[in-house]
Amino acid sequence: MIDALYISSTGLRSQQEQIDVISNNVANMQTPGFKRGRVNFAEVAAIAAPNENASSGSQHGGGSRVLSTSTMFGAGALQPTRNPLDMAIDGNGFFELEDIAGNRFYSRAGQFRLDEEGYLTSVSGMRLAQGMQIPSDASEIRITGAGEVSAQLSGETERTVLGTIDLVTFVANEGLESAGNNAFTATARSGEPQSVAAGEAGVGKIQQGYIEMANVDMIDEMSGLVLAQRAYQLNARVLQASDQLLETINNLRR
Amino acid sequence: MSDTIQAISRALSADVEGINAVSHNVANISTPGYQSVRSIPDFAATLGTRSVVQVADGPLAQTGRAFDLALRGPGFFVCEHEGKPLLVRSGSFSRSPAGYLVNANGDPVQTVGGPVEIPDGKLQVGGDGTIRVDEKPLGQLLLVDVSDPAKLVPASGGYLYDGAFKPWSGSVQQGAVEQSNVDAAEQTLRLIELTRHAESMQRAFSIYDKTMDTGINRVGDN
Repeated sequence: MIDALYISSTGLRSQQEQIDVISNNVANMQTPGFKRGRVNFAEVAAIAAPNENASSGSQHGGGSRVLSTSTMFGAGALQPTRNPLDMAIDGNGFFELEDIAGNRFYSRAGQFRLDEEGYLTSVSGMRLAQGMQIPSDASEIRITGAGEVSAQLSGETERTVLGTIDLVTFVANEGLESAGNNAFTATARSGEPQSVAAGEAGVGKIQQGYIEMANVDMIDEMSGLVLAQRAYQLNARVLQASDQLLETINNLRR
Repeated sequence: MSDTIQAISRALSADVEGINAVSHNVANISTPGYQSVRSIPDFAATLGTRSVVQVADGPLAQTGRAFDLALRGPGFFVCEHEGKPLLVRSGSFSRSPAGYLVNANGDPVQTVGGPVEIPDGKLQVGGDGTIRVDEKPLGQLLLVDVSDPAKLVPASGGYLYDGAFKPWSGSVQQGAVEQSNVDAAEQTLRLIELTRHAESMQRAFSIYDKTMDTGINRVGDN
């Protein structure tokens, strides 16, 4: 049978995946700390028939496939919110979060609030892993670029230092796996998290009163969508043409 | 007597091979660094055609990502895949957990002195393939050009090659990904050409069949 039918269906499938990823990127345009996805396409190499030396060249490829979908960790725009518990990182670092079961997650979304015990908690309900407790009588909370948290406690004249927020970095950010709720988990491909003080080279400083917006670029996504749609059409066109060729062959003796 | 039929059947097989190559190209229209193939007639091959890689620059998509490198002009990056050198055109690289520069398949990218470890810092790759991190030179990417593109055999994200090399004369651009060099218009044209050629072959077959029918069954009838 004619392979072109199967080959163009691999193309259709790849383009569909591309459109899925674009729609996820666009849907999360307003999600703080969201990092856009990118589909990595790869060619399916020819499978050489046995007893055939490689350079005889009569073999043809097997279409395309989606190798992986990777996350692009480019920085998003910082948006001022004036909320003292909102933090953005202007470098490669991540906040380390811990859920009730003790699992560690890593996030760039710096919208924090206090839970019932006064711990800094992300909007999805996970505490900052190192545990930053803010007393209930604290006011004028200040977080420096290096992560030092200080507050004015009632009955004291000086400001009290409550602790320091450390960030973590990874050797290969792109190996992180998205776990939903703007958080990522470490995998073998990302390497182990390394705890680093905020403000060190590459890690980035903490910016209080800002949140990092999604790094989705509308123009990129729209042009990507146009290209994906056209590529899908062209693949469908090839499918039709292969069908036509098959019909011609079936009617050879007409 | 059956020469014509065999000739027509060979021509039709070549059309099918051609449409296979077209569909492979079109399926890879979004594969970064993909180089289109064209099936050309070759009497040495079993099916009468062979596919040849068309080495040409694809358009650039700017990404602004430091690990995305695009080649301009003929040439290939070299990655090590299962102990063999693999010529790679797509430059979407990243850093492996061990800190080495790897391609999307996880194969280490070769420099003149073997695989290279990239420390934290600002990665800069010059037009000549020199790698610097925070202005500190780290090595030189191994870039090659082939003398005989017909010997390129596609394999797992790159090409295996056993022919002669010639000095590389292109340039490297950082922060961009080379797109596939498949030309949609050319592929559509080829598609029309092939389907119409197959239809012509069908006409020829049909007329020959009728001639045979007349010659065998009707000569002498009145």
